[in-house]
Amino acid sequence: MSELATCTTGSFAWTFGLAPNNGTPANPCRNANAANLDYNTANGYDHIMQNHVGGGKAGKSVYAGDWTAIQVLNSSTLSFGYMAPSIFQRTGSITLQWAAPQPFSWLGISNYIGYDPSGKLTTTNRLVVLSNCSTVVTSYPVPD
Amino acid sequence: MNKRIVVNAALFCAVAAVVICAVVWRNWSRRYIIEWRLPFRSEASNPVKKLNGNVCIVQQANTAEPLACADVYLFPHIYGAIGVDEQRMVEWQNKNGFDSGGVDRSGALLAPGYPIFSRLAWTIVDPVYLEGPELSELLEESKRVAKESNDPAVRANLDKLSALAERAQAESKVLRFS
Repeated sequence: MSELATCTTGSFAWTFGLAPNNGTPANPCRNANAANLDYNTANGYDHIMQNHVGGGKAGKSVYAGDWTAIQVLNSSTLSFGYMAPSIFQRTGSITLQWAAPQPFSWLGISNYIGYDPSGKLTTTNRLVVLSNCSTVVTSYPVPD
Repeated sequence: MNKRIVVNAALFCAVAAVVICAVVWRNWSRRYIIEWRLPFRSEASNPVKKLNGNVCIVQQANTAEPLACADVYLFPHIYGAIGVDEQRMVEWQNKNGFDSGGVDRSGALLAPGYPIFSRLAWTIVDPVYLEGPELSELLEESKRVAKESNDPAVRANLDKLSALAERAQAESKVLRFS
């Protein structure tokens, strides 16, 4: 189900032109297998669930969706995302960002993925993976 | 008579279709795309000037909208000046993971002599909030780095960082690193 949703989401991204990298360096993980993200080796699952889901922790960004939704977002971010600004890059890891598609923005309807640390709704996801493009360190919504 | 039945049935089907679509869309969006808001509820109707940067002054820890922000390149500039290069980072991460806070189990710091900067190395994983005496310590560490470095990039980033820290301190605010 999540793979299907990933494909759907990815198609939207392609169709509506949200995938381009905004002039930042190309996403080195764009050809990685998004279905095989590893959330265990670097405790990515624990970190995300403890800090960025449900109530989360005060001052941290929070996803509005469940674990399935987060996996879909992260898979899309890995495949279609762009490199986050260099201030958010660290040695040994890659920080990617991806804005959820807005197919109904012409109707004034926005799709939000969650809330940034200030409590504002946001459409942008950030994913931090190790240089192998597979091991997830963390992910969370960031301001648009 | 038949015409009225057909019209009523058509209306009923149309209403049912709209309701079904709304319910499906609502559930689907909650599950996968997560959240949607109509324009009259959207924040887009009240545009606010956005403040961007990885270091921001906020009213209080954990909750507030940024009051001022700047892009401060901690890596590679400032950390390079205190001896934390790529090799050191990779070794530390392999040994202590990404949530060590710059202190290992034996109490050793990522950057010996710089406890605050050691804490700030993984703010992309966990944001760090500094306030009160911690801001003084940050300013003191920044001055030491600036004194020991002749690299203009290091000094420029330290200037930006110090300016934010001094303002946060003067206004009793909090500095957020993300």
